[in-house]
Amino acid sequence: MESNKRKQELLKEFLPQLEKTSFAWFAWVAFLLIAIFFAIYALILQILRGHIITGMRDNVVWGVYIVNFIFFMGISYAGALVSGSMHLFKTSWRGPILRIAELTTIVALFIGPLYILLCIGRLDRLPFLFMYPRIQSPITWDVIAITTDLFGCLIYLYLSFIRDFALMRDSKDIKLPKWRMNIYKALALGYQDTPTQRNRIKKVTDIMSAMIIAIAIIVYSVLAWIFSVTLQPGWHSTIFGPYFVIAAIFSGAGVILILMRVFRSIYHLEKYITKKHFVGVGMILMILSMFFAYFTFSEYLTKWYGSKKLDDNLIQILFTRYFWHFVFSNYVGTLLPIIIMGIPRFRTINSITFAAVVAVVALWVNRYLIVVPTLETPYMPIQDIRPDWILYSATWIEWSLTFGGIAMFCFLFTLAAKIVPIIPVSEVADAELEMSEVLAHGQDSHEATRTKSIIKHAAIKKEDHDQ
Amino acid sequence: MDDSLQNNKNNRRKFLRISLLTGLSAVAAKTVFADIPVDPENEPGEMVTLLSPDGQLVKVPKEKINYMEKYISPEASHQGIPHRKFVMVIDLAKCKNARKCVEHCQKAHHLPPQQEFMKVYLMQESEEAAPYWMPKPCFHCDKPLCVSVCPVGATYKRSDGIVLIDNERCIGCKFCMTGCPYSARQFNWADSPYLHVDQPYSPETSVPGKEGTVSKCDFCPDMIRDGKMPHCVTACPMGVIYFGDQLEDIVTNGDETIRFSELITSRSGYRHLEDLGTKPSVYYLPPVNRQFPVERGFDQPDEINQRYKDVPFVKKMHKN
Amino acid sequence: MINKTRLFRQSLIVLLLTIVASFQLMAQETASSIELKALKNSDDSRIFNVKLTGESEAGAVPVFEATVDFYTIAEGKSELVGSAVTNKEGKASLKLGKETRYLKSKEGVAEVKTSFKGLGKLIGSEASVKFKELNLQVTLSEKDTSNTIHVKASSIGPNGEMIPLKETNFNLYVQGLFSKLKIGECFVDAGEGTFEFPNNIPGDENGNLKIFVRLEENEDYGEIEKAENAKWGNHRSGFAEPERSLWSSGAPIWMITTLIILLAGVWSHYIYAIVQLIKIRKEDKKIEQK
Ligand code: SF4
Ligand code: SF4
Ligand code: SF4
Repeated sequence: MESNKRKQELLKEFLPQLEKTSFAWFAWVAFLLIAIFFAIYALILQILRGHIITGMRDNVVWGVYIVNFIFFMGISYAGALVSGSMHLFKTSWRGPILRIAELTTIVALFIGPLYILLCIGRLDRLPFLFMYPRIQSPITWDVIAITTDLFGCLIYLYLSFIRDFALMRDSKDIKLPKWRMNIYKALALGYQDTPTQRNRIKKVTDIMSAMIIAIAIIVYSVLAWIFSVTLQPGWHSTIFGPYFVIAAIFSGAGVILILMRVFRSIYHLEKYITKKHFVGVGMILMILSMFFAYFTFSEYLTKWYGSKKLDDNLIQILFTRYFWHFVFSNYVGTLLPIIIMGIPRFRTINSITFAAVVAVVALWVNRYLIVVPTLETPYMPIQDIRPDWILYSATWIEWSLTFGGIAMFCFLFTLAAKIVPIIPVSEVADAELEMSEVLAHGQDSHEATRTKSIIKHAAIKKEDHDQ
Repeated sequence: MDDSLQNNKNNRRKFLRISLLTGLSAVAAKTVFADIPVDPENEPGEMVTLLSPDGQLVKVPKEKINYMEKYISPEASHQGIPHRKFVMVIDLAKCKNARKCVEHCQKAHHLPPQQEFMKVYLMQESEEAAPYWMPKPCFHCDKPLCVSVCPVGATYKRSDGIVLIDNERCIGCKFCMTGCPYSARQFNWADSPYLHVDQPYSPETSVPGKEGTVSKCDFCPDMIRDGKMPHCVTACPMGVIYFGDQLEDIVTNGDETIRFSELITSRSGYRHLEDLGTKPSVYYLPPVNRQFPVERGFDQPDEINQRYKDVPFVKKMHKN
Repeated sequence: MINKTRLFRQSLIVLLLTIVASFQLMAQETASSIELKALKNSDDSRIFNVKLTGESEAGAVPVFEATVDFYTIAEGKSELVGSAVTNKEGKASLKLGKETRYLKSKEGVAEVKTSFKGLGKLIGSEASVKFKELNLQVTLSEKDTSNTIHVKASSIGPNGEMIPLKETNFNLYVQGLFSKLKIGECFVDAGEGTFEFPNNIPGDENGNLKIFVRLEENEDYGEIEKAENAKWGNHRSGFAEPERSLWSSGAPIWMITTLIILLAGVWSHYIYAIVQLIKIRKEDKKIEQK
């Protein structure tokens, strides 16, 4: 029962975060709520007055809403992919950041679809999507895919929470109101850490983590296909599926890095989230930014090299009207992570975070450049005299809903961090235990042997219990 | 009680209006004809100016169509007119941007001035090529991407080739608008008096439109069922637009009736952006041996002419 | 509020103008003009179409609800044969059956006059058409692959004798959805003519065609038309919408199967996971019981 003791110890360390709410916390939440309510106000206006109060018009029918949709969904899938693959491949340092990745997945997944709803002209007819579905439409694919993904992520997240819920239920030091303890008790589902239960959880988590990876890839490709099945020159591209997936993980890794940095200072997790973790995720960020640069380059190179009139128009306005956006999103956004991670001297926690921030913003701009300029260069020339019909520019309604979404993301994350420890206590404690055992057995810490030792360890524990 | 009072008042006001208008038209028929200000909100039905048998100019309400009698419900509108496949042929050699097709279509579909089911483009394939006017309705494609991408089946292809929108089903996701490569579709961005027409909705008339949904040229199946041609066809003073049934191989512009296949082969008809493979039902006859110089098309108010300022030809014209 | 005052002001102006105008109108008379066209149908009845318009500053304006009378006239005699009332387009028509007797001149020429008497400030007007009787027979014959239209035409002499028609062109049409398509001309001489019907006219879905033989704008006989039905069309098979396609209401089979396989694969794992969770809960109960 040595591990249990360690777990309770560890939990105790994190309990203050769950128990106490500081003034700063309230101020922060109030700030977020103001932003959210302002967005709700904007939404009500949009519903009452119609989409005319957005910057969208007959040519650019989708604007920053769809950009935000792609953005948040991307973050969500990235969270799933990162946590899923870290779990599946037993990355040794995954422990402390696993929960951040998982929470990112689920929180972003609640917010992303809201943005597609904002693009819809008649929200009152939303049930039609389920009443009269047409399987041929990529939107139907997306509805099915997102629902499936949401369920999958919820199950996966829950699996990873159960053990911590059980810990909290059993903790004697915890000072929380009764109703909260009851909730933990219910959520813990009677998990007693028996070897059979333990094995069950492990088996299911393994399966679900593999599932989550597969689903994330499919779902994000489906999202890309919404664009690439159309004949629009900027969208009708075969590489859009993988391109979007890469871009998603890229931006998601960035968001995870930012969140790691934020929680590290606020919750004083310096002991758990170390530079090693930043470098680890930073490496992922760098590799992905290389992939992303490669995809972006081949996408635009072929358009630029070929002479198709419409591709040409698109490239033309990307390099004139959107020149600085283009440079920022596709040069700065990709090169900066590579430089910072590539040169060991530059690799500090803060510089890595900075690279992550730039990458995330650059990715948002990149999506904007995929959506808007394409719609501004349709097959039929735009012959109109109304400026807002020719060029898109988002109105304050759209911006406030955009910031409202970001505020919502922060708000939900803040709440989630109040409910469960931001560090997966059981996971980290187990990893520590493994580590010490590996050391005790005097074996080298090669990955393969370690995996074996985990199994062995589990077996030993089983015997323990049986006695 | 209250209601009937209100009604009475309305009627009185209507009556007053009619008699005033009658008086007015007696005075200066010419100017009145030019533009009687139309206030769509209180428009007392459509009026026509006639001479009474004793020589008085009068305004009488236009023959009210009994919509209920010919009403095609949204469900029924999925069925095409049997054994037909409608096609349109647009003779670019005769078009001079008279915009009558646009205006009549707008009027019939209660569209605000800026919304056009039929648009007239000034096209110029390259800087050296001759510019020409190109009226463009919805092409009613045989492989309509707009229909393929609709998640709720609010837009559909019928057996007679017509692509319609049911705005009671449409959720307004605008996916079809990005799917259509010909910019044929428009969104009803805001509520407007134009969307309030006292007439039961049918996808075949596209009237009344609904906020938050999509609309486009419907090929006027309500007219076809009546044995009449779409408004744009009959409105064109040049006979630019031919309409008919491809299966019986006959098209007509109202004056002239020709075999469709003959017209297309003898005049080298083509479809716009054929390589996209959407298979439009609208054909064009190339702008050769033209009846009017292209400049004649600028006989329009400034806000129309301004639309074309980016066309190379117009730029050059302004320079000289 | 603003609207109301504006309306009031407008009405005042209009009222003033109306008063001024009514003085003007009293002195002013309006000319009318009438157009008349006659057509002899297949069943030998005749239809007379008129359009009545009045001159106004804005050009011709249709006159509605006006009564126009039709007379048959010959050699100074005139008899009323009917009247009609114009509609809102200023149009009216009168159909006279084949039994109608028209007054005729010695040469056998009949004349029908239409007249609008005029009323109030609108001055009356008249128009007339002349025609001779023509006996028109159309027969269709099919031989092997060729279909032929035979036209026989003869006029009736003063003594009732038949005079074969000389050197006249008849136009041939088939009925389309909106209008008639001209398919050719048939030259009739010595009272007879033939026309090879083209074999590539589709007709309706059963290949049925309505064929018209028409004498148009003829000085002597006016407009005459004979219609016949024939099953001479070679209708191509209709435009068939593919049953399962991207744009039909039913999805292609491969899409449905792919979707089902994918969903079954994923959701079965979810169910498995949930079942495992339920088992964990049950195990807990067992432990408690122990
Ligand atoms: S032109 Fe556009 S809207 Fe019309 S049928 Fe074709 S794809 Fe659909
Ligand atoms: S906007 Fe309406 S018609 Fe167009 S795809 Fe969406 S639901 Fe279908
Ligand atoms: S066919 Fe009908 S809806 Fe289409 S442009 Fe012509 S008048 Fe308008």
